[in-house]
Amino acid sequence: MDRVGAIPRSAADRTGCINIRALPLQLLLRRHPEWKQRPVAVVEQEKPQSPLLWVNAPAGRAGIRSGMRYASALSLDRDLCAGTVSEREIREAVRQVHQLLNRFSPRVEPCEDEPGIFWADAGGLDKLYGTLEAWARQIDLHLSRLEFSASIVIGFSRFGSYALAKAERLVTVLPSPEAEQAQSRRVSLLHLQLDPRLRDRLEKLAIHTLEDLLGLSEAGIQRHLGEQARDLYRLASGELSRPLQPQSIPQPLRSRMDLNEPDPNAQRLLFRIKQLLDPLLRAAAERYQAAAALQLQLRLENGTRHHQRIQPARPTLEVSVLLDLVRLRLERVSLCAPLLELRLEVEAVGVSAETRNLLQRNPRRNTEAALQALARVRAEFGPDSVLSARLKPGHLPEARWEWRPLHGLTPATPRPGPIRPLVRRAHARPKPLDRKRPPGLEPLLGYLISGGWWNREVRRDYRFVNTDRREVLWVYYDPQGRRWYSQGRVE
Amino acid sequence: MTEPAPAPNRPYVPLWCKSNYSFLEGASHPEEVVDACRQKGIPALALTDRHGVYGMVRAHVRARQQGIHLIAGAQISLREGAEILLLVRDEEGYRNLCRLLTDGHLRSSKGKCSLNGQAVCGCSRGLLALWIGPLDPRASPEAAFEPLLGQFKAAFEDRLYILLARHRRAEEILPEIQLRKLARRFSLPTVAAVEILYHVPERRRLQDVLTCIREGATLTTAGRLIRPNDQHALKSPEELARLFNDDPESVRRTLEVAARCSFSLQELRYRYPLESLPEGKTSSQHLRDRTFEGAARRLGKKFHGLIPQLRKELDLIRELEYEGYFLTMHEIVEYCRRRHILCQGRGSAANSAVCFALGITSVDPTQVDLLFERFLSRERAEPPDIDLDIEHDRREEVIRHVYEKYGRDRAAMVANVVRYRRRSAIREVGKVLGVAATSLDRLAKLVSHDHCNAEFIRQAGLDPRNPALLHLTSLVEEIQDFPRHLSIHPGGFLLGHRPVHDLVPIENASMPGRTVIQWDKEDVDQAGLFKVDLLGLGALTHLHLCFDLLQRHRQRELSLATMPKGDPSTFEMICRSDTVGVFQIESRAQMAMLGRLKPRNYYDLVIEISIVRPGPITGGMVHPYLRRRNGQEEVQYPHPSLIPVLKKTLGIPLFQEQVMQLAMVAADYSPGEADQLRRDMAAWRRSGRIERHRQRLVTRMVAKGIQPEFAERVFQQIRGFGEYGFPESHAASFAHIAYATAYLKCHYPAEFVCALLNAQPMGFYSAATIVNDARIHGIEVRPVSILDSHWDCSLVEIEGAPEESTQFAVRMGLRYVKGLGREDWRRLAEAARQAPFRNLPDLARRSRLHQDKLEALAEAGAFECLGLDRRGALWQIQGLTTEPRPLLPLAGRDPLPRFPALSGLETILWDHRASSHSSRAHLLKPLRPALKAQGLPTARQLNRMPNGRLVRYAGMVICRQRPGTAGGVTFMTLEDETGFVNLVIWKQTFERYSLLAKTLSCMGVTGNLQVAEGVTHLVVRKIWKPELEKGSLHLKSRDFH
Repeated sequence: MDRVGAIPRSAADRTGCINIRALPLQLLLRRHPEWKQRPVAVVEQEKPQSPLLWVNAPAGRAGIRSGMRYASALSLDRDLCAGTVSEREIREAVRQVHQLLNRFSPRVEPCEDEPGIFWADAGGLDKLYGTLEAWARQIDLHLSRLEFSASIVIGFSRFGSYALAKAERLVTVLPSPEAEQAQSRRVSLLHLQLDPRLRDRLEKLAIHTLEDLLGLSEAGIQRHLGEQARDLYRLASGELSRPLQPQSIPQPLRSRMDLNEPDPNAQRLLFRIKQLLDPLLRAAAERYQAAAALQLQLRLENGTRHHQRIQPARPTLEVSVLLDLVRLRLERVSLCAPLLELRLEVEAVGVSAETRNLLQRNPRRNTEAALQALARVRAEFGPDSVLSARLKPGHLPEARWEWRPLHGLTPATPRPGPIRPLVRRAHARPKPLDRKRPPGLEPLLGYLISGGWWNREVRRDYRFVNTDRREVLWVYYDPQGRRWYSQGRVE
Repeated sequence: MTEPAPAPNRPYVPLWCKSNYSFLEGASHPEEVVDACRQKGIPALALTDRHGVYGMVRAHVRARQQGIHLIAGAQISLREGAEILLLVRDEEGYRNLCRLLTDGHLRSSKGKCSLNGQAVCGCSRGLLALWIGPLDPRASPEAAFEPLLGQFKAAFEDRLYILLARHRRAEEILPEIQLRKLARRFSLPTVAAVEILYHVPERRRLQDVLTCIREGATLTTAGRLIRPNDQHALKSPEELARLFNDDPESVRRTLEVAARCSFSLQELRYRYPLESLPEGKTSSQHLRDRTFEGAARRLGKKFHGLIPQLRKELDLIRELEYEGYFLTMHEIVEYCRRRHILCQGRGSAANSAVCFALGITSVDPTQVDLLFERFLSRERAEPPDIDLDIEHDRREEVIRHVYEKYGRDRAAMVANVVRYRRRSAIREVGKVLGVAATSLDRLAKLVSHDHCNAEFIRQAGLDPRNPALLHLTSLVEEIQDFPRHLSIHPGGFLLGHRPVHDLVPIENASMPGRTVIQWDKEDVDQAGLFKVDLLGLGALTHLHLCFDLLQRHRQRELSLATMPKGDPSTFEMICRSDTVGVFQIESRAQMAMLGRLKPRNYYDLVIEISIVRPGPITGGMVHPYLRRRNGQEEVQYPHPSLIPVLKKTLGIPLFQEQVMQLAMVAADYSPGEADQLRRDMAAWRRSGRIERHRQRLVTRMVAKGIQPEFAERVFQQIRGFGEYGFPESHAASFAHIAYATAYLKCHYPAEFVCALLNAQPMGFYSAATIVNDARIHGIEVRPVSILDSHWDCSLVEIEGAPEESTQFAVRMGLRYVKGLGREDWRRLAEAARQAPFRNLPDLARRSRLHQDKLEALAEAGAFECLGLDRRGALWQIQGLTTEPRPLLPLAGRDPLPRFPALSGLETILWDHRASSHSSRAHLLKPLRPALKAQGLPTARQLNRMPNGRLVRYAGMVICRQRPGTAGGVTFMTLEDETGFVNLVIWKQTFERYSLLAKTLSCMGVTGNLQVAEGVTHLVVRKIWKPELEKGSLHLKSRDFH
């Protein structure tokens, strides 16, 4: 447990704990504001047997509790709305709140175990905001603008403020460490995030509050209730404390160059990009990262903007590789006015030190060379220029394959089939034939495809027909549209 | 049989047809395919379901009616990767097919069949083989199968054909060329076919859906798993001729194939297995001897009066050659008797004096006027149906005995075909259509038995214009009654004089070691096979346990046969509706009826059991009967000829047999017709069948001088019976057990309760209610104790108890501690046998019980006998596992903290949480002062209040019911420490307070009392949450079953 805290050495140290209560539920309601007055629950998965993780007050009033299955909850209230909240959404929300809190305190620590809990160093901020309560209310105001509701407790220790923030619903400023200690000890253990098994055990032993817990001996707790209960005891008693560990939000690898004089020379652009790129790649290397793509933004004197994304074959720290791709791309771009501003951002991904070393060596294998070549094609003609056809299990000819971007190359392993198939060239889209009957002679062979009744019913009566020019056409009749179409031809 | 359809110009026979008994593949019922053949003028049909003959009986019955020649067959997927059809030529072929399928199924897991070409070739006699080819022609070229085809050619000789199937698919053009090459190379004739999966093209949608269900896909992701077009419907002869216009010879050859297959299911010659007989005796003589011996033993002097009936029955049994069946049942009953397993026949068998004499049933034919024709009739020529109830926890022993006696090849369990109903259909079809699972759950919960239409979708809060939901409504209706998979019948056995797998394939059931035939109960009946039903009944276990306790503690030998008859005090108790735990008459509705019907003898109990059923209720028979019984209405009969039929029920038909007799006497139905009427009443799902009898019944009754309006009323009553009419014979068997359990409750309440608790789960009430009822009856119930409790509940003699009072207390068994298993108990018992437990660490060390188990015991208060309260015990247990076990037992080193003692209410709540009951007190007992302060009466006080009084009451909900016959009225039973209160909640009231009504465990209600004929109901006007001490009073009730 890292909600560590104790009575601080100095009463001037002030720690604020911000608790965005039931963060996933708030995120779900932010996504569906129309649900606000209705019973709502966050479910683990979109399945009837999925357990409810969080429920709002209207759901609670209907007797719905977290831990229930969605199906059971639905039998209590048919109006129950439910949805999932992904880890990614939660991470993004934490990042957003972290960023906001950084505007109010330079030292902010998000709780890793409990997303939605933040500690902020409030020391001395009363001087800036008049009072600490004013500081807290400002935070509360800004959080509400982000549609978050929170309880904020300004205390003296991490644990004390945390325990009270979990139990309180308002902005609270504690006057003294002693008051914090006295109030936090009255906090019900049900409010704290404990292992459900431990919480159940404590409840059975009539240990309802931190004060009840502190009434036992530490050794007894360790022996009978385990490590987590012992840690809780030590936190509550003040024996265990840890200073605030502020975390900074990683800054993007971004750089910008404003030209005092608009530069009409496109050749010099590459050198300017190199100037920006070198330090960005060094910064990436220090973070054990490499460039997976470059975002290049050009603002011209006439106000037009150009945006290019250039992706190397693999994440790299090689300036020359990246500049080569940039050059190829820029050769396809004609700048209609002198350059005014240049922005460059490196999309970096993490790589191990070992990989980083490898990235800086020259590739030897042909596959690598092929990938480099494809990257160059992509750089020159755009990201959609390198595609591969993938087979799909559909019945209609156009549903039997699709084009997908090619990200990698694997050696081909062709296997000869029992029958050499005829090559059919299909049109990108079936072409309607002008005449009512297909051209040519009697049909050779035919087959029927019908289906899609659940969406848009399709019925095609296919024929292979000989034409006057001794071609074999691949046509079909659509009885609904009452016309013939050419699907392609047979070679 | 109908007239044969006119012969078409270019006839053919569909040789490859899969019904919906090719589970999740075929999309038409076998009957639909047969009917479609008749409509299209097709003279014959081969039913070739995948790996089985599951739908053969149904198809056979319909084909006989329609005059269609049905060819038996099956499609087999060979392990080598090829598909073949096997068609039956003659009886030997049918036998070989069944053996082959049995072999394939038994070597595979449930629902699978594994066969190779060699196995098929080994059973080729009497079969034709139609070679379909590889499953995936692209992966396996035909040439790869040449050796296998050569093997088939050698085995089947001129009975091997190449099947050319056309469905206008792009992929089948080249394989056909390959197949024709093979045909030429091996000089094999070709036959034309379409793989029929549905009888009309409109069923294609359903076939797609079934495929997706089978493959676990949705329609949008299924791709080529579903068929590319709708060309799998039954073709008319003209359509097939057009499809094969380049090869008319292959079409013509289908007729040749059909002509070679002359086998019909009618040819199955089934004989019931003969029991081993004493030397020199025929089975008929042996049965006669056993019957007369038994009758003399059971009836004593009354035996002579029964001789004519016994002779009549025995003559018919001999004529129909059913002796073996009766002797088998007798053998099973004797086995049970030898093993001290209680059993009793029920159902129509109770109409038979022979069954009584053989000990199969307990209904004394001299006491009750029973209808033998209901059981066995010459005209019907159907095997009799005897259901044998066996103690539920010992049924497995009897099943094992049957397997051992007859062998696995001569005994197999009857299947139960699991079919789609609306709820399951909504879930599975909706998933395939891509409807959100949460919406489907909502729909499935709300759907009624009647419909699934757009209005219903709207009511469920979904958009009925949504195309997926539109498809859902129609497909759900279409898929109704479609078989989904086989499961096992609760106790139906098929026994044969020769291996069962010669009659029908046997396959593995999901339960290890259990095998099941491919036909269900109806199929077995239709095929004229004998079935033995061995059913588990908890009440028999209860009785057995009670008899054992009486023997052990009072040295009183009692059995069903020796139970004193007509005990007045027992009937007094029954009339007071004091029947918690009494078989069949313990439910809320039965208790309410007991007060009104006031049974005074055995036959009253038979009526009591029959009358609280949907049939008499919906048929409007209950109130007239009660009025007549109470002398408030004159007893009238529709016609003097019906007096003998209706006299015993005061002119009101209450039993299924009476309806049959009524039809025979008033409308001159033959016994066979009357039995058909019974079957049609039972087939409520195929509505309309009962209507067939209307004109016949009414016309004939009028012709006999019965007033038309009266005749019409009688018919309405018959229709109202539907499937719910209860047979008198059934009720007579049950009444016997009901009386026995009531007698024990009345005279040996401690033994009764102890046995009932040990027989759980069974019956209507939870252990908590049973214990509370025992307490109300003055029986001391002692809590679980690690030193005193056994696994089961036990009786403890109360020291110094006066002779006239209950001499025994019930000690709850450790089986009631949640989370504790029998194996844990064995460990505890073993450790306790070595030396008494000194303290908790000693117990934990020697029993080696897991911490969870020890905690469960602690929470249930089982360590209080060691001087440890529950919290103290929990604290100690939690300390036991965090340090290594000492070599020698050591006392705890740290002092025991002082935890707050549990309050009275907390103790009871802990009891309920840990063991689902409390032997200390009812939950409301400690809350009574608070309830009293609010002016709330107890159940006892309320039940003594006058009619019409407006009262407020609070109690624990033990049961919520909304019977289909009650027009939306909900019935609830509330309980407190003094008894029950029955609530009646009208639909509007329930809807207004639905959340409280559905969720509260402890419920407060306001309403008016309705007291009639000594029965009190509270008609609820308002539901509220009682103000109680803080703490959750949440108990599990028995809801909406």
